Amino acid sequence: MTLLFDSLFNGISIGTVLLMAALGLAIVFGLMGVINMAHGELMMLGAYTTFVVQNVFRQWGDPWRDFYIFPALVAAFGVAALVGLILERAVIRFLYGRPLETLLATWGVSLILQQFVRSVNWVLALRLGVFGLLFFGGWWLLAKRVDWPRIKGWVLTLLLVLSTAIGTVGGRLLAQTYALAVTQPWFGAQNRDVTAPRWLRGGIPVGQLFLPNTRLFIISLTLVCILGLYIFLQHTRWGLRIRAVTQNRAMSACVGIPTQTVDALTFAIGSGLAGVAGVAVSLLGSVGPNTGQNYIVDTFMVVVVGGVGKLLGSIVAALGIGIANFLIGSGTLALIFPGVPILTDTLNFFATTSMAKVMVFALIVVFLQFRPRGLFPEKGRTVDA
Amino acid sequence: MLTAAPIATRQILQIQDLTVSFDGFKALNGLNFSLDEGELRVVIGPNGAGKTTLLDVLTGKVRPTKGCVLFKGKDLTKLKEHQISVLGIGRKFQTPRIYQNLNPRENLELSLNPHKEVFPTLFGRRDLRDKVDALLETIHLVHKDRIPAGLLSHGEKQWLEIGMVIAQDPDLLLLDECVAGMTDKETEATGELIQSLAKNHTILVIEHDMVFVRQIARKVTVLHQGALLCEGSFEEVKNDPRVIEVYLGSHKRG
Amino acid sequence: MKVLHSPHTPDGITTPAQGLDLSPRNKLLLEAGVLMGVLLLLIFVFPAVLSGFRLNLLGRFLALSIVALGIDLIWGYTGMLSLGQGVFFALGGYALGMHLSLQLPDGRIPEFFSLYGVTELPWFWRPFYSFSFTAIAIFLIPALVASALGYLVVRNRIRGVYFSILTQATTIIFFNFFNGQQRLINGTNGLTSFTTLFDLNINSAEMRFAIYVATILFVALAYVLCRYLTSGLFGRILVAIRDDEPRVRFSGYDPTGFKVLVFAVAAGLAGIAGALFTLQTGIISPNAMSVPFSIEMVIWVAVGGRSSLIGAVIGAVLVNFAKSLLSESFPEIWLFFQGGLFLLVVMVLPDGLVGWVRTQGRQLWIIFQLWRRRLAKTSLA
Repeated sequence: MTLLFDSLFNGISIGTVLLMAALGLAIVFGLMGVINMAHGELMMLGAYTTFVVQNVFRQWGDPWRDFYIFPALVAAFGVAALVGLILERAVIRFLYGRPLETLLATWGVSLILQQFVRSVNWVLALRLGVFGLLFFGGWWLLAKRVDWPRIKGWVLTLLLVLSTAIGTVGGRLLAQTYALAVTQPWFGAQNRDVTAPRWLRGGIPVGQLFLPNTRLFIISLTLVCILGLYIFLQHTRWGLRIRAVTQNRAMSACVGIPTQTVDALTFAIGSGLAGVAGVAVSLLGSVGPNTGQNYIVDTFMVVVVGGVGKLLGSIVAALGIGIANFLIGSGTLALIFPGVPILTDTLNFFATTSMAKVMVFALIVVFLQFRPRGLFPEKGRTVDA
Repeated sequence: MLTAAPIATRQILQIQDLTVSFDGFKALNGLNFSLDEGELRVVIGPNGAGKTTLLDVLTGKVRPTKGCVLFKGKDLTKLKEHQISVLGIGRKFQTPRIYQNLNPRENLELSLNPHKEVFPTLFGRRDLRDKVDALLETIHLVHKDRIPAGLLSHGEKQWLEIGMVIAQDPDLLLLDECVAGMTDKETEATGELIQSLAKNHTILVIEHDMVFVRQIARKVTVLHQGALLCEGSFEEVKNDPRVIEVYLGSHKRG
Repeated sequence: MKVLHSPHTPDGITTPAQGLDLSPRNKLLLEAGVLMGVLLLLIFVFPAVLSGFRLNLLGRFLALSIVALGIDLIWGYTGMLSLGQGVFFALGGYALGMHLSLQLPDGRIPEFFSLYGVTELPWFWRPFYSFSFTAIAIFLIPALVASALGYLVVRNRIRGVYFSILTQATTIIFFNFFNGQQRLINGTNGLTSFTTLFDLNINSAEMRFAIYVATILFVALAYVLCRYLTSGLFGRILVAIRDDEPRVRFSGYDPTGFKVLVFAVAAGLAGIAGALFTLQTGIISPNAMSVPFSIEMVIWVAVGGRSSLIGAVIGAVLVNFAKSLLSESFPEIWLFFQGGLFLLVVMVLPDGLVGWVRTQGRQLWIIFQLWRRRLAKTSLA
């Protein structure tokens, strides 16, 4: 009995992290048919934001340092949502109806984001800032001219070259004047540690079980996120619009729903949720440029198993995959079937975290033989037209 | 034709008690329907009557919730789309669905290919050129046979798809609103094409365009709310009070 | 619903004559001639011109271009974006790697086994003593794995993005599996320190050149195979599946068989590429199955131009040369560059370099024609 509860608890806590990561992905996929390969990197940005907020609060001393987690949640949501919004406006909206290309483009973005956190320093930040200001500022100013369409191509090329050059020269100068102070990377390639606030350390003993506080915190955070998302989708005007566009984009556009805004908003919210998931991830281990990559494939599997269009699908799928991973990975399953030697041997063979994934994937492929469209598929004439 | 076909009364298609329900909504509700071999039948009905769903069931795209569909004595409800197609049912879709990046010639060859399994397709020797040329002639696309089909006009795409369906040489042709978006002249030519096809095919046409229906119709079936409302000649159906009520009546109001 | 993917049909299939009006037969002869020319150039001229180091790189990249050909077949023509070709590449590499590791006197087993206290050769290593078995296994094992996976996924009409992320998951799964099995295949370290093949030293200059030539011949063979599959009715069905798979069913074809077959062929090609690459780098490790590497392969094809086989080869060679240049001098910039490349190709050059040349070439041709006509008019006047 204890064994069962223990595995259930551990499975659920793995599943909730997956779920939080998958929620954003699933609503975006449902709405736009787009899988965002940079979703993991948005989580990573959330985790790094937590790291930064923690350091700021640590400087402020005692009463504050224990509560950095709440502002960190807000900041992580904000940062990830902002980056997501930029991503949607600058890249994804141009790739409408080309989901495979979107996959590749967002993978490109994920590579850039990974390298960005590795090498970002004051010089790079300044160069980016100067570039952005000059390029987009120039664009904005010149776009008001009457003959803009005619000169657009040339002006943009010129602006691109000029602002890159100015940014680079400015960066060089800065690097020469202040040397190490500005050229040192902010985070570097090393992993960084986020320490949980004191009230989150330790845990609650329940019978023979010990429930770590961080895990409990993550579970409640997930509950809050799901509840928030549910209320947003079901009981607000914008939620209604999102559901409408998810079901029938053309019709929604015809009745006057601004589908472009809906896309941008949904993408931003989905990305923000990734940021919040990043906070949760930062509590579980150290934070590195590859943090996102560790979660991304599992979250994709949640979307595949859960199907699109229903939150419940993602919830069941995430918890299911989480529990299956734990049961197989910890070797608990082998303990449940002690009598059959071949079965036990096989199960022991898969009883590591990474081998468990092999088994779970095999199970997912088997599952897809029966439910190829996931747990809760949509029905009707519009499907697969 | 009536004299030439003494055995024409053999039924090629029988549908009994067909029900299709999507999450409780019944797109087809206990439909009974049958087609004689060599018949040209027009199915009409207001929007949502279940016309396209009927074709979806006939081509294997939708599995019925209840009921049975017999085509040449075989039950279609267990078969997959391509099996039904090989069995002899060809469908022309409501909006033209042709292969946009292939040219009309290639589109037709693809449908004409007699052996549709993987390896016969890969290694098989076949000479389809004459048949393709003849078909291009029929659908008036001889001069545009080598441009990507995506660049054809809407009417030409409709014709190409009709050509593709003919190329499959089906026993039963299903034509779903094949004159939508055509000019009057094109519509008339299509009507003539269908008339000539009707000489040696069984054809089921779904249509909204009443002028066109009058041109081609011999027997008309009216669907309403997923079930059969009435059947008869165009004139009979036109004057049936139930039809006026559900169909033409709603047009007068609108 | 489906956007017209490019203004022209895939290469070889009746593109509107661009001035040169060739019969299909003559076109084929021309293509064969060009192919032969390139082969001769690669085999006889390049070794004389390039330094040994660069030539070795070229050989490796040509091996990689075989994977790219396979990806072009399944993605460019059939619309199946596999993010897991690295798995098949590595399977081919491991097959040859095992054979090379077994070039030992009788009774001895590869050295790494002693690290884990393994004294007896695991059963599945035994057949790899035989070269003929290995040679078949190099393409057959990947092809069989791909057929099984492909069949299970494709038959349920799982396609598009779902197919992509399932293949990506496959990569992780195989990576985990190979990474975790030290006692069976040396885990993370992979197989390395190969010395001989057919009792010849594989690091001698002559052997290296022979491997280089063999690589080129395999590229040519792979090209011819893909060309055969993509031209003719079979190729058109692939394009039809890419553009509108459900419609293909109503035309009487079952797409499953076609998709599984090309997926298996692409996997077999990846296996051959992996073996040739392993032979030239002297190592095969689970890193070849890492997720980024498999996605990188797709970008080679995208850069060169999908739905053009030549594009795949050109893209693989070009991108990899760029990578080796950039990551030699600025390792940091490479990832930014690669990320930018993904964005650029997808957003600005969706048909890759070859596609760009084609459209630009056509425009230039039209301009040239107009200019000539005007010239003719003025001279008449």
